[in-house]
Amino acid sequence: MVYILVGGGTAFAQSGNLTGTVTDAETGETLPGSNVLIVEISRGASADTDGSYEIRNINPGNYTVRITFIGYQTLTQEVQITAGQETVFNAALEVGSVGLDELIVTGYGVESKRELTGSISSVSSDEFSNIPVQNVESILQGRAAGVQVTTSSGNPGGAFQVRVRGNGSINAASEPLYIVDGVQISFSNQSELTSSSPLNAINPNDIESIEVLKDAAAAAIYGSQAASGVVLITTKRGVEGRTQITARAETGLRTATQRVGYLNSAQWAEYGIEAWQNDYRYLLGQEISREQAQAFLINDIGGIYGYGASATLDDLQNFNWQDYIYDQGIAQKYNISASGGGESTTFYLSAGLENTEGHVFGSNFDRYSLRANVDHQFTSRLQGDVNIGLTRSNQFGICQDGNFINCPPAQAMFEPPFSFPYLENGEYNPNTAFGLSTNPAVVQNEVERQVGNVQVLGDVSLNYQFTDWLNLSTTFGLDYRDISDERYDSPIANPSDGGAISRNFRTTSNTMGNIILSFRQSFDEIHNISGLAGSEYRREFFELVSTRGIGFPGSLFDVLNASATPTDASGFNSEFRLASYLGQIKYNYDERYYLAIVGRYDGHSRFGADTRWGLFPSVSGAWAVSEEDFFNVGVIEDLKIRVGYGTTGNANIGNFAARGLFAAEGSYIGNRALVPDQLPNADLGWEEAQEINLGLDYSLFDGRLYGSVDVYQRKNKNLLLDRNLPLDSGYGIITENIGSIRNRGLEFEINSANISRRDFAWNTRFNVAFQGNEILELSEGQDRINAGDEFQTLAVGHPIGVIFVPKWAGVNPADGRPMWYNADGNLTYTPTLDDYDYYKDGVQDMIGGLGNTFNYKDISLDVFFQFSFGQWAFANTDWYFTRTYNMYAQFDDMVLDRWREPGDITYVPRATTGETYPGTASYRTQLGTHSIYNASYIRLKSVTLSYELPALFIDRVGLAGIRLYASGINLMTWTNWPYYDPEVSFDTPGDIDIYNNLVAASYPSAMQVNAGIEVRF
Amino acid sequence: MRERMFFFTGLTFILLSAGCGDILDNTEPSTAIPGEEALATVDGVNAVRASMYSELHGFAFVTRMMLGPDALADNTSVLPGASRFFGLNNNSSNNGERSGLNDTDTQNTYEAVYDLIQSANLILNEVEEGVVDEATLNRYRGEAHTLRAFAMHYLVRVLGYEPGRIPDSGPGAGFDLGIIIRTEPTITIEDVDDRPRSTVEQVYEQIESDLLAALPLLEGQNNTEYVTEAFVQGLLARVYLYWSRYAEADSYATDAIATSGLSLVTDSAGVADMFDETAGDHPESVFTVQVNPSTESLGVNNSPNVYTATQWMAQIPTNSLIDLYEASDYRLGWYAPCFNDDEGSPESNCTSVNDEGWEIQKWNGDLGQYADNIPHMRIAELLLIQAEARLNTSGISAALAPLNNLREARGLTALSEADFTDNVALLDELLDERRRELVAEGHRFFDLKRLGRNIPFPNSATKISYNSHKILDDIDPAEVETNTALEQNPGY
Repeated sequence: MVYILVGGGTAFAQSGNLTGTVTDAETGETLPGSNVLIVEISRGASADTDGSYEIRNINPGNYTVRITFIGYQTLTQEVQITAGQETVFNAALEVGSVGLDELIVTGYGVESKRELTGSISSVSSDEFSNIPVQNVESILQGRAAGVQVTTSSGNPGGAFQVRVRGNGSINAASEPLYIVDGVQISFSNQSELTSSSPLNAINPNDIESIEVLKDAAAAAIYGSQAASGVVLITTKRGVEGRTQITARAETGLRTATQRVGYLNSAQWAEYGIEAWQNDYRYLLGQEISREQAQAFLINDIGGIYGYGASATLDDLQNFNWQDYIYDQGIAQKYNISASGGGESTTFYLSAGLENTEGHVFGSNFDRYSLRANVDHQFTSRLQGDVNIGLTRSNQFGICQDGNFINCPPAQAMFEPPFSFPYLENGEYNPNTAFGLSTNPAVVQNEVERQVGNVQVLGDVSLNYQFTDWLNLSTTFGLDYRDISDERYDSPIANPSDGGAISRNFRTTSNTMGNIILSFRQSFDEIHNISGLAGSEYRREFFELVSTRGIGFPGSLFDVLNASATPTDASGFNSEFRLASYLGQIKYNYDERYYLAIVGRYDGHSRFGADTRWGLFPSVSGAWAVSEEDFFNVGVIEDLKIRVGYGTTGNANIGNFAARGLFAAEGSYIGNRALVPDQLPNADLGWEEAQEINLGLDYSLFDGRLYGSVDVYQRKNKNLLLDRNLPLDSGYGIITENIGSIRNRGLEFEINSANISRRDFAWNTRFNVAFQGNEILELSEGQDRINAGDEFQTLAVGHPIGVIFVPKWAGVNPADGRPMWYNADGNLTYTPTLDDYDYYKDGVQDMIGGLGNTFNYKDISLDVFFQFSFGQWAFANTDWYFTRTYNMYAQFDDMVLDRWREPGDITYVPRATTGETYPGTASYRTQLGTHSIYNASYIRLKSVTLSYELPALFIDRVGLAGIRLYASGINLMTWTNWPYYDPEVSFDTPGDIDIYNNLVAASYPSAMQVNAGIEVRF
Repeated sequence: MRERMFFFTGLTFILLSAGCGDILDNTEPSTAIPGEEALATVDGVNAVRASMYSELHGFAFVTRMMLGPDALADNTSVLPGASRFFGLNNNSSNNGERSGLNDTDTQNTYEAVYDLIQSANLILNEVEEGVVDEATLNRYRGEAHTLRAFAMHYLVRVLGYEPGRIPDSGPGAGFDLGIIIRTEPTITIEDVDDRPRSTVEQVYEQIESDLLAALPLLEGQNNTEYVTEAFVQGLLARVYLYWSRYAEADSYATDAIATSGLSLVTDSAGVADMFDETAGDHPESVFTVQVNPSTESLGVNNSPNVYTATQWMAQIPTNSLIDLYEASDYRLGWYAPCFNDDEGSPESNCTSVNDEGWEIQKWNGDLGQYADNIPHMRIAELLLIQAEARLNTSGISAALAPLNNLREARGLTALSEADFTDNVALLDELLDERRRELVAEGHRFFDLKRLGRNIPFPNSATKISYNSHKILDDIDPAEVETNTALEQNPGY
């Protein structure tokens, strides 16, 4: 039911207003928060608490107005706006799903899902508003089909690896292009001190929606930066009407998700005694008594761990290092936001404060964030807005990712149970595995690693509307980041330098501007045409200044001024520039046949003069089958078939990779040395991703079941590949455009409104993506790169991240030696490279998520699972330090199953005090199929329960609403991965891991439980 | 009105951005310069010259060069639990391949050698006319010839047999290949070709011709911070010794000593402090690579001193070495009880390698920040070359003179002809003297190999038989795959 009234109003002389109320068609209740959009000019408003909305200063003309609300079918209506008049449009929505009428932010515009010809996944704030996360990546995990998100670090504020439809690059792999309200975010020049997400500057509380442009048809408008996908982040905007203030406070706890079983001291000693006896028996042919073996053991342990040679087994402590290192952290988060405005100006203001402690030592993330998004209508034709986000975050990171003796996650494996942090007198124990300076307690208390980040993210844009169909807009955006690292080691932690401090300052100035002319027109009511043309310029300049000083008078000071000797002052800067022209034409005939042509012409300063400019076009079309007269299938409400083909580019190489360079590296007696560093290559150009996508959007049973299916194939060609040169040339590599990789996959998104009753609703959302990766071609005549490397072999016909190991044959029951199979399938004790073969890979073959939301009256429960299947990996540190013998480190309780006497049939070789079994390869270093584990998992990623207090009570205290909520993250994990965290991604700061088949002492993901309250005024 | 203003501002912006192409040209790297500029300026030429020396700060030319040959033979060994050069001590590593002196770990020896040669080739071939004055250019060219020869000799010793020592049986029978010779720099990708190895004879001839070319160019150069005339002569002597051309070895060693103007240190304290930079320049070295501790040290992980004396205690002198010293030997001043400077405490475990629990302190981080200067040739070595060369040309009595000269300077009594039954006995004594004198300076393994001897463990069991293919290290398989003309060593 639609009512259109025309009445007087206070609009600008030349324009009109649109107002109205949105209600539930069945009950007549108002629907606060529903969205109203004037499609042609992309202007909209949200209904306020009374369900009413108002959009002012609209040029006279005929418009399509579209009203959407979660759980209801979309309503579309033609409306006429008259100069000086107020048009009233009251809408009553029918229960059902949004389906194809959901509004989607696309490159340089907003469209309804009905109009899309490309592949886009969308996540709205409803899905994540109650979940305590620090950044955008964690929101995306499991929620967008085909977008693979893996936690790189459980450090609060830590980084994630995000792959949109797999990885198509070897040397130029990159994260997707992130764009916040039109501003492209820089990922350059990040702190190398700890794992940190570059998107921490955006408070998730301020996010309205996140869209992922997945295929070339959708992403080609971003040309040379789009090959790894594009993520559009839209922040919340003000809504005209009474100011609504929302305040939230929450608190929670973070702990480790999973522990690993290690031997206790007694079990360790038992192993050690057996090991000494074994070694005498099998290496020297002598039998020694238990007492003798015990004496040898005590001699070693006593020497290393400070018990002295006269200690007994009873003296050994049994310290639980996991409990010590994996502690728990407390999180607190406060947010307040105000949204409102008058007829010409609306605003969204927000302030956030967060302090989240990690579950390892002092790791911590705190953030102060402010945001002001203001829209202003200057005249009926000229509109402007300014969005400014200011963030100050501070991250206390720990050392992680690698077998480093000062990294706590590695120390949890290095320190055996008979080592302990403190002596009885309270002093640090100097006899931990690697001595005093790396005693975990010293690392905890005497080392500081702080990453401070001040970021300004904002844009100003002006929009001039010539007529109701022609629009000119310009945007100036700024992403300015100032990162200061501080690494301080007290004289206890760094005795040889007498304490040391490093301060690094990184500033990144990433500026962009564009101007876009866009139009949207209909002819004869059936020819709908829209398009845009524009140009854009982006410049990124960054600078790094590093300083270091050593020698401190005790632990009193930690500033450079207090250091005795400055040892480093260095600096560096770099930049790139990108100039673009872009255009897009979209046509549809009667909303039945759609055609879109998109192109971007990009020039990038990174490339040689001959190859600097590249054209990235795409063409796509769709057929809304269900709109045809002949189509008459009762259950099918909407059915649309999409097809798209296009090219995007990847320019993610060094800023000066095309030039012949002599680098300033090293020196001699005060003379800086110039080292021949890079051969010139004027032909160096773009990596190109050619992608074809076939899609289907459907909506069944009156919109109760809707979603999409996409199948794609993306071929990345002209890979920026380093071709090895003979080293005697003086150069190791040259970067050339050679080789290709194919990614293909199948994605399903299914949403259903299972039950929609007045008091009870149950909605399900499910997505799953199957993906595969294969290297098609490398350098001419080359079928492998890094040949023979267990984890980094790149071979034609295999995926990136294929694992290359000999096959494990088990333990010889006669003498407990490890055995492998050779190439002929016979047993061998000493496999050689010829016996190696391809085995599994690090590709996540199947990823996705399943969410169920239950609403009963004022109670809402959301249960969300996320899963990943098919990834296999090697846990480097766990293997070398807990699963195999290393000088008195932790031991996985797996070794309790070891071979002990002839006839034992088991999978763990006999105990030994060293690496060597005579005539046998080392069980520790000779990897095989037995060293590789399946990292597939299903995670109960989040559970949220929220309760809206009854209106009766709220009215009495004079508030607009109170909501209580509780949530949990990573509450349960189902996996066969035997170590801390099956989310395997070895991204380290500045270094993207393309193999995903190896991990070494990463900071494992945290389990979190949270509770909060939201008060609305 | 203001609406129109906005429209025109917009149009202007469109027009401006149409000129974007030019803007893209104006980016320049901050810490590198285009190749064509490097050798066209004085600063550039000086900097490329510095890059030759800077290469000598790398792990391959410092820690691996100085400590590797001792670790691979019987002079030093790891403490239990230490891993640095464990592979060399035990002649073992992953995947059935041993880690050798041409290792890729930490810094690839092969790559470091050819990087130095590329810099030298640039100085020798590409400096534009008139950029630097002739005297300076001659000196730089002399240095480039010398360092190219020095680098080639380092690598050819690792990968090839010595000329005249090619076995006629076993896996290496008749294997006469040395290394790839490159005397022209790589300027563009067209200069990069798959090139085969030359024979050892050809490589030695190239080395000889480089050094002979350097001699007149460096006449009178005696600043030991850079390549000196005496260093060229000394290097010639060393190369001829490996080549079994003893008369020339003797003659150039004699020249080098005379040209250097240096003499042996003869007092106990002076010998003990010889490698302590805080006591002054090395008194016996004819060429000492200078290391700036702030920026040029190999640091806590890779410096030679952290391997031997200050931190990781990886390479500890063996009984087999220490037992060679007499109590009066001043050179015992190079040893001290093991002490972990990082932890500030004695290291008791060293007794598992030698009875005294000693560490060797030639590399001791005396400059601070784990830095030591690196002497590359000392008067003592020149005397030992003289002695060995004369033993071959003129017999025992001629050989004893330089040997006794050294012994007396080290607090030992002179030896007499009567102490030796035959030449071999004196050669054995000379090898022992080389161990006592040149430990941890990069000689032991090569001394045995160049004489066709087996390489022993510290307990004198055979570690690598001269007839084993392992006497030559392998070339990184990846390199053999990249360069299709490159032949791998036998047995790998």
